[in-house]
Amino acid sequence: MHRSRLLHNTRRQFLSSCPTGMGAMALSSLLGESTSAAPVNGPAKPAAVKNTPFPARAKRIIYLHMAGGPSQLDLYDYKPRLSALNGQLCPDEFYKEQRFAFIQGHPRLLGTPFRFRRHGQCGATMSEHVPHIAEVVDELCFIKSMQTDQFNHAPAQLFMQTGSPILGRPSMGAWLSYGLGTENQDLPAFVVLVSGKRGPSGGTSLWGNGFLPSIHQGVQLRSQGDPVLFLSNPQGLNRRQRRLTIDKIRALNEMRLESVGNPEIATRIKQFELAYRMQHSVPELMAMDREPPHIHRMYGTSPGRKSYANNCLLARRLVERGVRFVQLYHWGWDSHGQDKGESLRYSFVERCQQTDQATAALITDLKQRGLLEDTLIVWGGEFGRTPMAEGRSKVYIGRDHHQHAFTVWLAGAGVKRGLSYGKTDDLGYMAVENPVHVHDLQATILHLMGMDHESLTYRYQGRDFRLTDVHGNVVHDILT
Amino acid sequence: MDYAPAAHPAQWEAVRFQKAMASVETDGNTIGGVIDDNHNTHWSTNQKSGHAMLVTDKSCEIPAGSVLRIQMRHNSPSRRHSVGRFRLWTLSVNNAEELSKQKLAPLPELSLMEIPWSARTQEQHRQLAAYFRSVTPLLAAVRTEIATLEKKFPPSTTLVMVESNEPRETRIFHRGSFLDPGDLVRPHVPAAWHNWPEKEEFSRLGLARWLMHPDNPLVARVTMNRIWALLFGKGIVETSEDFGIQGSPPSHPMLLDYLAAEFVSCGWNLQAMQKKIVTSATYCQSSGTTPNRLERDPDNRLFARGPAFRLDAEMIRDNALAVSGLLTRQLGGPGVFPYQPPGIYEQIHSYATQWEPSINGQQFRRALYTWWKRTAPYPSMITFDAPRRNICVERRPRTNTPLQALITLNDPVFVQCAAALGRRMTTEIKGNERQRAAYGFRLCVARPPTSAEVDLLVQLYHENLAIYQQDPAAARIFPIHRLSDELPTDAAAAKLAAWSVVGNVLLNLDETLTKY
Repeated sequence: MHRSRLLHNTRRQFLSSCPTGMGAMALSSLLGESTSAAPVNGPAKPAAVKNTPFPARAKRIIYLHMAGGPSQLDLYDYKPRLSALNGQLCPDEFYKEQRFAFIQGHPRLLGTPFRFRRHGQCGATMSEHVPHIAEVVDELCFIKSMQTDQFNHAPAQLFMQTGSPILGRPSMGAWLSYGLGTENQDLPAFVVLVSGKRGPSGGTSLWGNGFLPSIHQGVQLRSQGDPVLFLSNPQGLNRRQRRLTIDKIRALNEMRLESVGNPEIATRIKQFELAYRMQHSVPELMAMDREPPHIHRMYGTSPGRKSYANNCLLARRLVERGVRFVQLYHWGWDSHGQDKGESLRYSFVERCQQTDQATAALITDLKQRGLLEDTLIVWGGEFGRTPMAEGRSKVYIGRDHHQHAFTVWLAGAGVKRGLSYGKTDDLGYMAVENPVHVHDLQATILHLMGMDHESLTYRYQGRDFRLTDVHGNVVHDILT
Repeated sequence: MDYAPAAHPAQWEAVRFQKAMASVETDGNTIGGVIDDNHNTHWSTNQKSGHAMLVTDKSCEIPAGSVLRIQMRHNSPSRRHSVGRFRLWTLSVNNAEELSKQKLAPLPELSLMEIPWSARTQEQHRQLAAYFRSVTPLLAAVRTEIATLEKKFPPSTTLVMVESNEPRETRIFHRGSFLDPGDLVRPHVPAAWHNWPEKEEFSRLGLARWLMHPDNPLVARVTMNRIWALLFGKGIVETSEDFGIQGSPPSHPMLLDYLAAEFVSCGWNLQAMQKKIVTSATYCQSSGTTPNRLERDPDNRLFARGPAFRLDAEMIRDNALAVSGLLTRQLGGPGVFPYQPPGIYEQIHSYATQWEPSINGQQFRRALYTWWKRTAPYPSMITFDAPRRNICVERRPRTNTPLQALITLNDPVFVQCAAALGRRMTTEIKGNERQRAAYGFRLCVARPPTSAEVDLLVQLYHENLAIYQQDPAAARIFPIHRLSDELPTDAAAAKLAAWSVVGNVLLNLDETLTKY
């Protein structure tokens, strides 16, 4: 905390270093980069930049969470044998003594209805519905053998983001903010952007701080109203008046500090300055119209429109400004096939069209700016889809939730390019080679950020908690 | 009943009754049934002793010396409705009309009245006095008031679980899976703690007795530690949720034990213990400190200074509502929906209740009445470290962030409070601007301001007044606290708005947000 430094200054020195009107800047340099004064335990400077146990390959993360569980079998995990057996009853071991969210009885196999083709120098086979991502496939590192413990959306999303299917644990971004601090004091360390018709079913707990101090919670930049809650001054109170009020609050708080010497007051003075600066820096961040037309063409965005693509461009602007962890959620990958709104041939294709170009553009854009070297991009859902059809409709096709195999890809800092890691069986039912559990992925992401998932702990209610609980192995094979 | 005057002994005249009263009757069988002409209606005392008084009709004047003839008809179809040991008496009064307005005293009280005053026991006096209070017209108004209040606060009920006669079989689940049951387990308490009381059943009652057993010092210690933590910001055992070996050791073990022992010996009286703590020299001392002291004890573990910590999320809101005069002090009832920005609830992946902001003062209820949805909790409280209520939280972290500053500066709830506070400064004080500013300051921090503090507030007022005088439109859109039918002039609106800005500053002072 700033206390130790405060203690080396007498109060007189302290105040004389804050000339009127310049108080904020002077305070800021005096107090270091702390933003909180009373953590329960853990690091003394919760938001200050901290040294990592070993060198960080990635300085920041953009995590693209495809809420609903996109079908790996119709995007990246091509199974010709499954197509050959399309419509046949699945093997007994696929459904006997197995539990599914919806499938009942003896289901039939479902081959992909889409065309697949090899792409790039790595020769990865990819679906026709991700043509833009296919162009940057040599940047990607696929993990095709992902496994999870959960097959319902909310618990599976929580499991992926917090390491536990039950509400109440800190999310990955909160852990990283807690472990690493923030590089930009004018913006939160952990920012969340949500697109699509609805938010993810796990709710705001997906970016909650759990039992960590609330400074580590993900701050959702909203697409409606103020991007950050209560950022705007009330109507009828202009920026000059806000400056006047902040100055008076500061002056009165300084008098109070002088009389009681409570160091928390100095911190509060700084927080009000930060709030004032955010009132400027956040709208500047959100000013997408400042991007040149060729960038908008590349992402397929237009200023003022709310979309996944806009969020991708915003994510780039955020990491450029030093935000540690940017998380995007895009709704609607739940392709059961019971109606048009949740079916492979319609809604699934629509989701591909909404995300393909912008996702590829994000990779290209980061690369051309030299940011991909130390930015990690993660793409994936909370689980995969079954090789069997659900058969709830005669018209539409779709697949059930699947926990035994799905695909996630990483790109950027510290991961091998053009790699496909892990394998599923011929029908895409089970990860058979190098299975990677959700906790392994989490351990690997922390590792890339320079953190040891076994030492990043927080003591709470009598025991040390971690993101990976008592599990997790870093997947060294995919690291450069 | 009929009568024969003394002069004409054979000339029987029927007597009519105008009114009948009884000390006891049942719902269906009232005393009225005795004097009406309907043979199917009766009077029943429901197998209790009782008496009735029948008042003769005014038109019926029975001359002195008449002979009375009384006939009782027993028409009840019920075998249980038989009459026994009855007495009859008659009396002649002038104020029958007045008498008939009185309630009849029940028999027990009547018999007490026959005992001379000096011979009555204390219990008999008490009983009669209680009866008197229940009927005397002198206290009618008070009785009505009590009845109304009792209706308003119905007796509280406690939900009590009933032990099942055949306890349910409970097994260990291997790896937590209910599909994989293991060994049978029975209720017991950890061996590390004091023994289960002999002959005590393994039930909820047994557990309660075990908890409160004299051998168990933990309940009193933990409770006192929590009270201490509420008042000082941190407990004597800092990990107030964990007294085990993984928790932190107490900073003042003797003090904790003293408080625990006092707590038990005063009969577990929480109020008395809180009073003891808040009147202690430790609590009453100043929160002020010096760099030297700060260096020696930065976390105030030694309690060498008074407490100073930021209010909890709920208190931040309640405090702002209270000092601005907006707080609705209604107790209990269903949850309310204070203002929150649109779009918070739309986030939830469900088809839940929409957030319709409450009106008519309900939006100004205390924070604890706020509707809570765990997947989309009330945002301003989360930002002030309120738990999401996903898990039990005994001790909250206490952070200090810019997002908190944005709430108390700009959240419409707090802006409304600022405006109402501004209004209080203009209407509740007859005096100059300095006195108004000092009044608002005192409302927020409970101490009079220094002259320098007033200077700053008055300066702020004039700076903003000048702005609103130049731009009357701004004064009209700033949320000044408007009385219902008020249409302020530009000049009045500018003044109100400028005071609202002063209120905004006052609600954001460290001293307002912090408990000193």
